[in-house]
Amino acid sequence: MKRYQFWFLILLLTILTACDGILSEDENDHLERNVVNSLKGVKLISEDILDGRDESTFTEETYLLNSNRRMLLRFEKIRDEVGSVVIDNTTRMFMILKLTDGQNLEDYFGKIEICPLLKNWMMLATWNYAHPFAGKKGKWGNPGGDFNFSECIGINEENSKIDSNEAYFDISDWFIHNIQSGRSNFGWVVISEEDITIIGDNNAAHSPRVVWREIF
Amino acid sequence: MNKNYLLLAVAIMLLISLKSMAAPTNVGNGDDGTDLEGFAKLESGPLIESQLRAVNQLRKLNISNIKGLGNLINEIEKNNIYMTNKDVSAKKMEEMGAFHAGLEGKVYARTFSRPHAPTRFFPASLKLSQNQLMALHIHEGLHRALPEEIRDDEKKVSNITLAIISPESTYDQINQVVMEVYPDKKEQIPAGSYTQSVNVSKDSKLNNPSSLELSFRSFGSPKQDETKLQSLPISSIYSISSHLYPFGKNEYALGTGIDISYIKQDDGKSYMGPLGLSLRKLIFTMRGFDLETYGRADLHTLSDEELKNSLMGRDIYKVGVSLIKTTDIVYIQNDLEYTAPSEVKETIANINYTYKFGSTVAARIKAGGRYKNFHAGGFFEMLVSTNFTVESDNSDFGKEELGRNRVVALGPEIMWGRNNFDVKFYGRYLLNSSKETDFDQLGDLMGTGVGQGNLGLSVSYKF
Repeated sequence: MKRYQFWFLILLLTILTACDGILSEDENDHLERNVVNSLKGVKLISEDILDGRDESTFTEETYLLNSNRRMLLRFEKIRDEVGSVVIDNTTRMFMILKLTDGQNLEDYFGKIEICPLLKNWMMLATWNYAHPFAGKKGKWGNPGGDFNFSECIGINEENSKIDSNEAYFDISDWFIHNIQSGRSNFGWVVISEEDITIIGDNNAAHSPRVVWREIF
Repeated sequence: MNKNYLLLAVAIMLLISLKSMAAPTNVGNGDDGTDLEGFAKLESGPLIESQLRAVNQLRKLNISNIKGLGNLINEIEKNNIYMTNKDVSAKKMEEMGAFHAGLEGKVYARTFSRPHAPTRFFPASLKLSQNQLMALHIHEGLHRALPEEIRDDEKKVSNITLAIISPESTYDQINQVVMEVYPDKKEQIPAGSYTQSVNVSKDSKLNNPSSLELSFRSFGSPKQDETKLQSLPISSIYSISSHLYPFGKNEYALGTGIDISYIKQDDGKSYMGPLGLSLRKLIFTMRGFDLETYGRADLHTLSDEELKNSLMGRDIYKVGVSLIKTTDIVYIQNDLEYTAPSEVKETIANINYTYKFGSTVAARIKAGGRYKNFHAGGFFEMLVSTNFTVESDNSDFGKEELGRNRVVALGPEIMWGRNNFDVKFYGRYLLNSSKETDFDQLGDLMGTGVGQGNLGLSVSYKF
């Protein structure tokens, strides 16, 4: 009897251990399949900074954004990295912006937006110019970047990670229509009316990035 | 000494009066050979010495650059001199044509008024002083070197001779006399020459082609839009230029130049700029016009990385021609210049950009007036550059073709010069351009500069 009790106990422990792995999985934990870090193609534009070569406008650890400071983002060569992935209702493409510690992501729901840019730009971009060449051709149609407000995307509250201050933006439609269809990648402008500090491209672990992941 | 000159002057004036009495005088005509009975070519002696002294004197006076006298040195220096065995009386010679005699009726020398004709001296000439003989050589040489329409005119030839041999004679005084004897101040029609001599106008740069120059240019003019800064915020450039012409004669001077530059930015940063290397050569001079060609390379081999890694970091290769006309009161210069295409790379935040400049053609007119030691004028230029492109090999920026650009500029130029020293104030102002193009986009730091224009000051010594 004792022998049977021993083997029964072993079997029971094994089953419980296996079940623990399944039962403990949170329904909101997703599998990240592909990550594109934006360690280049990040540019701050500000009404107060006139020189496109100002070193505080790129390769920074953090960027302070507000009504007259915006961030231009272009995930360079994104098509080469993840251009062939399949996007559907369960597998989506997200842009992730991480806020610095001390800020509460929930406070910014509905206040930060990313908007697809409509004009090609260089790292010499300023508040008034996408690039400094060819006169008006290089000038933004609207100071601060050319975009349609109707195409702007807010934080995806459902998929964002509150604990780690990571704001998720669902850019799947833009990715399909612009990247996978082979159109130009002019990137995004991040706009916020309130002061917000975002971790920049000088931080390899938490720089702005794009992930392709499943949602359930 | 002055007495000798006086004597010679009187002798020459006598010749002039003789000419008016014994009309018309055709130098060398009517030669029946009387004076040629026995003569020998001279290789040494006082006549040869005075010939050399005359040549040296003419060289000191830079006589070759005076209109109409371009061949005078050649005519004297390479002239074969013969000595006759006996004197001939002035009376006899009067029957024969032109000759040069003294108050005592002695004949000293005789030549033909055509290029390269030999000169026969008579034994009486050996009693003349060296200065008188020099004057005689010059006078005879003028008969051969001057344009055909005036070389037979004894009065004009004598006037020029007097101007040359006069104590304390200067280039300007001689030039003034020569200009007066030209009926309509025509430029020289060469009377012939031993070599293909080039007559450089008296104000040609090639008279004193070599130079050492210090210059400063300030790019303080406002940008069209300060947020449209295309290149580095360069505020000024200092340069030292040494252009030396060691090759060939003055008329054929071939020079090399080196320009070293130093650049300062608005924020106080400074660094080495481009190294300029140049060549310049006179192609020809005709009717007072100088046509010069030049080639220039502005290389960034010595420049700091900061400058190399910018729009201003392109190497410049250009060739051009200058057509220059200078008179006593005005100067006009037309330049045509071609700059070859080139490219430069700039990396900003790990993104590589390549700026490709198309070729640039520049047409420039410089003109102004002259008064004593002052030159005041300005320039007007048009520059057209072909397609300018920006492309990136490691970003989705791709390639932007920004098309051709047109830039129109003008500026003042005021110069004061004395004793080979020049002080020049100049400026450049962007008058008009397509697509709001600044000078930045031409990428020619040593040429057009940056921004909307500049003001410059230079001090140079020419030699």
